[in-house]
Amino acid sequence: MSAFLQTIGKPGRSALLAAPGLLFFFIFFVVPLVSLFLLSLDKPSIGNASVQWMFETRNFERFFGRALYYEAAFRSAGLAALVSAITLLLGYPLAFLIAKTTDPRRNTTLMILVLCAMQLDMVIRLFGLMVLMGDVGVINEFLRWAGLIGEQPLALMYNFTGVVVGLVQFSLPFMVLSLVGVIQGINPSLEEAARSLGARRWQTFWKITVPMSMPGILAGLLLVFAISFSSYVVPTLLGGWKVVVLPIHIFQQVAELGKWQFGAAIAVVMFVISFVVMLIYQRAAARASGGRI
Amino acid sequence: MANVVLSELSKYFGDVAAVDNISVEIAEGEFFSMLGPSGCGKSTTLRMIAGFEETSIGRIEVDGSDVSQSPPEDRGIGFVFQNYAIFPHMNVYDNIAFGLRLRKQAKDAIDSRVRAALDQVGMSGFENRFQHELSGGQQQRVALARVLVTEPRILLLDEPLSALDKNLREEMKFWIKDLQQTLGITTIYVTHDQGEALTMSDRIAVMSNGKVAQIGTPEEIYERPSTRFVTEFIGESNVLNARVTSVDDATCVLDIGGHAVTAPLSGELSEGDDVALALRPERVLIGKDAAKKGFNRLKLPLKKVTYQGSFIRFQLDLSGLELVAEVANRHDVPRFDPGSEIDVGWRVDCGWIISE
Repeated sequence: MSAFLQTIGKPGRSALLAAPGLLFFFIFFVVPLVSLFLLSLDKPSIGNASVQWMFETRNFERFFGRALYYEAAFRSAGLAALVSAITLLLGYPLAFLIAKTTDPRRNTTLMILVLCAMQLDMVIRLFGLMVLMGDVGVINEFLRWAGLIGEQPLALMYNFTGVVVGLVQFSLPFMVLSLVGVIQGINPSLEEAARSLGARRWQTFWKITVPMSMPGILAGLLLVFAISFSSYVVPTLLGGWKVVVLPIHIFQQVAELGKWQFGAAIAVVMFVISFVVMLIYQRAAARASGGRI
Repeated sequence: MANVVLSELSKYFGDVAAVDNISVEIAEGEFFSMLGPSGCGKSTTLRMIAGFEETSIGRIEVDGSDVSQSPPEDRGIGFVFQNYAIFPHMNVYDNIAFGLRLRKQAKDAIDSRVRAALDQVGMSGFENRFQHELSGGQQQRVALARVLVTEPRILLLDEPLSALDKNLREEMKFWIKDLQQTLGITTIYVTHDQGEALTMSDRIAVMSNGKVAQIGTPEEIYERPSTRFVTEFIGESNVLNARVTSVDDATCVLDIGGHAVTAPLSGELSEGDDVALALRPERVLIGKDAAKKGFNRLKLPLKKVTYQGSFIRFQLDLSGLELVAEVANRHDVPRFDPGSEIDVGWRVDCGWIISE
């Protein structure tokens, strides 16, 4: 064994250590993705999930030919963009507070509070949200008690608002975690230097702190975009099947209609959109970092 | 240009006094250094002057008005950081233009001033570089240009040379001093390096435990340190415990391990007082140089000789105490073997008495 390790040399040994991970990645990520691509180009065949090697573009023609589907693509991307923006607006001040809390005990407490939100399974948390936001939920009951609304409840759930709230609450910890480390890493003397050069507190924030947090902002936005764009559970439970996004179409095509090929085509479209968004973020990150990458 | 007065300034972190009731007056155009070991309160004092730390007690006056409650951006004080704090997301040009743009100056006015500032620090042609493309010395120059272009009333420098390598440090020492003299800007310089403080300063405040131990010109600080701390912190010294045996008009006689030694009188001394005599090693002469009129002359056994390049170090036994003499390595430096008894002496006024 040791003779074998000798002969393969140092790069060989590193490759050997990485082999289990690479193998897992290949079998459980690359293979399904490739078969998904193949399937999306295959001849429609109901209830058949295996590749028949009869390639045509009918699935994609169907997707781009019907408003029902391509509008869902815009809806999905728009929803994900909106959720990323709201999460950033809510998450940045929170992350800033945590990052600037120097007392280690208070800092840890705040971090635990953020992480608490991630402890329970998403579905269970969504049931909690439903208790809060339903027609006879806590919020509506309170508003009714306070006399702010009549008998007619505020429609907080089973609509677009419900999906946005659900996705924001799910994504917020991811955003905060992406930001805290980066904000903490900003050398305080940069902010002090700006102040002594004449910048007010808010000018320092916008000209130094925000640009310096850009790597975290972009990472957080990308993460939240990916989470929201691909989410199936939140739009189903909080959208009540009324906010039809791409994952819902995929589920319907595959699970209810057995149209694996068309479902795969929608998945490929989603993959391409995600990939393009990622490239845009990467360019933005390179630019924001001022030539540091 | 401005003068600075710190009066009864203190800073507490919890119960601990980082800066403990210091009062200093710094004249217009002066190069003033605060020198001390780490934790002596020098950086905290500088940060209070800049407005980065709030004062606990006391006043900071610039040109007669108290600025201790103003935010940093209203003080007109330039600050150069130990790590230079070049904004990494901006190039050199934008870094230097930062302060001018905040002042809403016209674009071409900014341009000409940025270029003049770059020229002044010898960094023309580096406009488009980013922080990670600059060496430590270059970042130092950019940091200075960025501050000076805003025409601050006072320049504060916090250990600006400590991150540079030795040769560059030597070069920058003189460069900064020259620049300061050309501009005539009131400068407060914080350092733990006595070489920097002695070379560059008009006056030095030696600090210890949040207090000012001594203020004086480099010569005063080196030649006549007033306390044991300053004596031992600045340069190398022989500090010999002694007892006063007689007191005259201008001198007194001390007993050091059975040897009678004369020293200039300082303060109120009377017979029987326990004091210490301080003496710089380079002022202790040996061999025939030691046998002169007006000198304290002793004959002491030589313990050790160490060759140190530009000088030679002789360690002598003074009744159990160690007396060190450092002799310049000239062509006629006397040769002695360890173990032999040699003539040792110093001019009476080269020693000084420190009470504690």
